[in-house]
Amino acid sequence: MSEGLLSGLQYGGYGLELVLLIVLLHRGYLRPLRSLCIFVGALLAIDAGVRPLIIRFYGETSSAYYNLYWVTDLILVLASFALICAFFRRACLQHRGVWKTIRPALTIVLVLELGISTATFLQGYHKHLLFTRFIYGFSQNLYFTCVVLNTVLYLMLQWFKDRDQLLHLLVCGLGIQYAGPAAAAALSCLTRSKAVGELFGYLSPVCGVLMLGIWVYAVMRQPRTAVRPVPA
Amino acid sequence: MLSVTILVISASLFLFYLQAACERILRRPFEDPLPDPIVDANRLEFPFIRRALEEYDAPVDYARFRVQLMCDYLALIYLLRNAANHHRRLSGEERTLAVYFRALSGLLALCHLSGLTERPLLLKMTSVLEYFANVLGERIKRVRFGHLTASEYLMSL
Repeated sequence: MSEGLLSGLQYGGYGLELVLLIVLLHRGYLRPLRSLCIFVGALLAIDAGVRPLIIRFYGETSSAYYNLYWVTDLILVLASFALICAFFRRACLQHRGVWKTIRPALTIVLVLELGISTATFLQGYHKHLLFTRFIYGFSQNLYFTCVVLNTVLYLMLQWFKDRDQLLHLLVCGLGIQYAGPAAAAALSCLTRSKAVGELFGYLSPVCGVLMLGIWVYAVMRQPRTAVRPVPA
Repeated sequence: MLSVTILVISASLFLFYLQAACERILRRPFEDPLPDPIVDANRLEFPFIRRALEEYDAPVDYARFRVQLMCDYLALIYLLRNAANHHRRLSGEERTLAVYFRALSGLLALCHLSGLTERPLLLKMTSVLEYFANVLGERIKRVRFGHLTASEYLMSL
C-alpha cells in the first residue's frame, strides 16, 4: 500500500512535470519564463530520465548511481536558486533600483554559502567524503537559504502591490515545496522516530506534486500578463 | 532549539503558502461576478451575510451564520458536481477550495471556542462560496434549455 502510494506520487510528479513543460512551451512561455522552462526541463530530465537510466544499467547500490545522485541533487538545488533569482528579477521589472541592490546581494549570498560549506568540508577533509560532506552540506545550506529568499520575495511582492498573479502563484508553489520538507526534516531531527522518517518520505513528494499542481494551474488558468520593464 | 525554530517557522510557512495559493485562486476574474439568478434560485444566504458583515457592521451571530454558510456550501458543491457537468465530479481547483472551506470552518469553530473574532474567517468563507457561485454561473451560461438561457430557465422555476 505505502509502496503503491509512493510510486503513485512519484509517477504523478513525472506526469505533472511533463504536462507543465508542454503547457509552458505550447502557451509561448519559453521566452518570458525561460528560467522556469529550464528548471522544469532539468527536473524532468533528471527525475524521469537520467536517474532511472543509471539505476537500470548500474543498479541502485552502485557507486555510479551514488555519485550521480549527489551531483544531480546539487544541480537541482543550484537550479532552484537560479529560479528564485529569476523570479526576483521579474518582480523588479518595474523597480530597476531595487534590482540593482538585490542582484549583488544574491551573488554575495551564493559566495558566502560556498565559503561556509567549503570551510566546513576542509575541517575534516577526507576524499571519500567529498559527496556526502561537501555536496550534502552545500545543498542543505542553499536549500534553507532558498526558503528564506522565497519568503523575502513573497513579502517584496506584497510590498510592491504587484498584480502579476502568475508570479504570486509560482512563488507560493515554490514556498510549499521548500517549507514542507524543511518542517518534516526538523521534526525528524527532533524526534528521530521511524514514523516521522516515513512521514518525511511521503511529505517530500506530496509537496512536489502540490508545487507542480499550483504551477500548472497558474500557467493554464491565469490570464497571461506581459510585464514590461520600465525604461532605464 | 534550532530544530524547534526551524520546525515552527517551516510549518507556519507551509500553511501560509497553501492559504496564499487558495486566496490567489479566489481572485480569478469572472465575466459576470456573482450571478443573481443562481443566488435567487437556490436561496443562497452568503451574499446577505457578507453584506451584513461588511456594510452594516452587524454583530456576528455565530450559530446562524455558520449553519447558513454550511448549507450554501453543500448546495453549491452539489450543483457544481451535477449541474452542467458531464464529468459529475469537482475539478482540481474546486476540490482544493472545498478543502480550504472545510479548514476555514474548523478554524471558525476554534476561534469561537477561544473567544477570538470570527468576522475575517466568515468573510473568507463567503468569498469561497462566491467563487463557487461564479464558476457555476460561468458553466451554466454555456448551456441552453430550448429557447431559454440558463438564467432565464432558473428564474422561470
